[in-house]
Amino acid sequence: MHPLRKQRLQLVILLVAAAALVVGLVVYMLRENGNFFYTPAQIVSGEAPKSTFLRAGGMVVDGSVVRSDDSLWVQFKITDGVEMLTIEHTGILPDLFAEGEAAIASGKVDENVVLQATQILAKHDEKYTPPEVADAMNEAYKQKEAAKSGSYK
Amino acid sequence: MSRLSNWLPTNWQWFNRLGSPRWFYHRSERWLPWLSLAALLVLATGLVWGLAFAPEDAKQGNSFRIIYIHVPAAFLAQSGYFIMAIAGAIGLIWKMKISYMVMKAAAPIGAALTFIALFTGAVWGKPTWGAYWVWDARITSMLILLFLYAGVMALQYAYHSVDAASKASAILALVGTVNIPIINKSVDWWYTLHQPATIKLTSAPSMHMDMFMPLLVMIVGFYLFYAVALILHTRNEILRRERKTSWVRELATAKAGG
Amino acid sequence: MYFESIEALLNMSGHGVYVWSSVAVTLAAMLWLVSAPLLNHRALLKEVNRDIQRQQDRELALKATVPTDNHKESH
Repeated sequence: MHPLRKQRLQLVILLVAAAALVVGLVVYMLRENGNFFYTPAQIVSGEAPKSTFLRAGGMVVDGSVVRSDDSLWVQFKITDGVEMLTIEHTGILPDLFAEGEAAIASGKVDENVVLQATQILAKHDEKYTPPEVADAMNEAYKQKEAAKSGSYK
Repeated sequence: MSRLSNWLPTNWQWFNRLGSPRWFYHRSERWLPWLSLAALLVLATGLVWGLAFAPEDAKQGNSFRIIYIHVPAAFLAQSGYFIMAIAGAIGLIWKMKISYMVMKAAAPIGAALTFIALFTGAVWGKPTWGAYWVWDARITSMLILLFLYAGVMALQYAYHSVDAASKASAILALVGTVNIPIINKSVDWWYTLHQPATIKLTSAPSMHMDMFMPLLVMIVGFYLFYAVALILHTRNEILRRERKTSWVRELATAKAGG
Repeated sequence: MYFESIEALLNMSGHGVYVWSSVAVTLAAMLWLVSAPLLNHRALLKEVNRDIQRQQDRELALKATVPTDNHKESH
């Protein structure tokens, strides 16, 4: 083949391969995030398939976290404001996992409609505060709430 | 002041002079020591401040300190892409020799910075999110940015003719700029684990000042570092492409003699 | 300093591995970004000198051989 044509052919192949890679990545990303994602309400109502791999996201319900004394087993509930879904997981939880914060669990739903999660992800917000400032803010909030409830009495 | 006017000749002259590889090579030799010193000082200050003196985050603890390298690297990875694409555009439109050299020089630097952003992001993600890698919009679009830089680098070697390689790279770089707003907006357009931007042009940063100041210092430091790296890479590209000219030959013999 | 000791700074309440590995990789990459072109710069100048040397050698050799060689070949 003519060297110039060969060069152009190589270039075209390179560009097509790169474009295919990019499209592949985007499709994979959207599939990962979209198709397997269910809300607690969808899972509890039975809309989501059982015994297949899926993801569920929601807010960790206050006071729902139960930890085992002798293992890394943990149980908690997440909610989307409609229904509550129980999740069980064995492993280290991310630092940002906390009651009242958003979490995403991936795994399979068993017969008792409990999500047996293989991975727990926590979402963080863009706010950064030093501990003392956060404590002070919580304290101020509590005092304000106390003052409010006090005034109702 | 006289010094400054020396550096930046008045009128349009500077534009034409800057376009001359020889002029740029000689002038940049004077800028380099000052820029390097400034970059080193600012980076050292920001790093020590951020790692040892800034308070920890209430929720994330000390792992949040990765922000001091992650955010500046991600910042420069994107700014560097713009620099590369604009240099490519100037090359295509005005056929300015040096702009293609700047474009070629910007590619490996941008790729390294993108790699730093992805790597530190992964290391940060493990303790905070619970995973090194998630296929979410922000991370995937940053990975595409890495491939775009790699593509520009690869195209430089895909042609025998320097001119053809430069043109092809410039076109790829320009087409790839579509990815930059996608990276920026990805956290708003899609549901992602990645948090929204901490630093916004339109409003106050959602970060305590004690934590924000060292971040600002680090961003300035990364910009200075970027300038040093870009000048060093561009100077080499000048030598490579002008090696047959008399001024490079004189320079080489002078360096060998001295 | 925010930390009470150097050990605390290195440990970062258990997050040290993550923070310091990130710092190490970043600094290594940045060092490479400036050291590679500096080394390359020296190599490029040497290459130009070698080119000049080779050209001079060729010219010298040509000059030395021109009177005799050229004569023979022309016949």
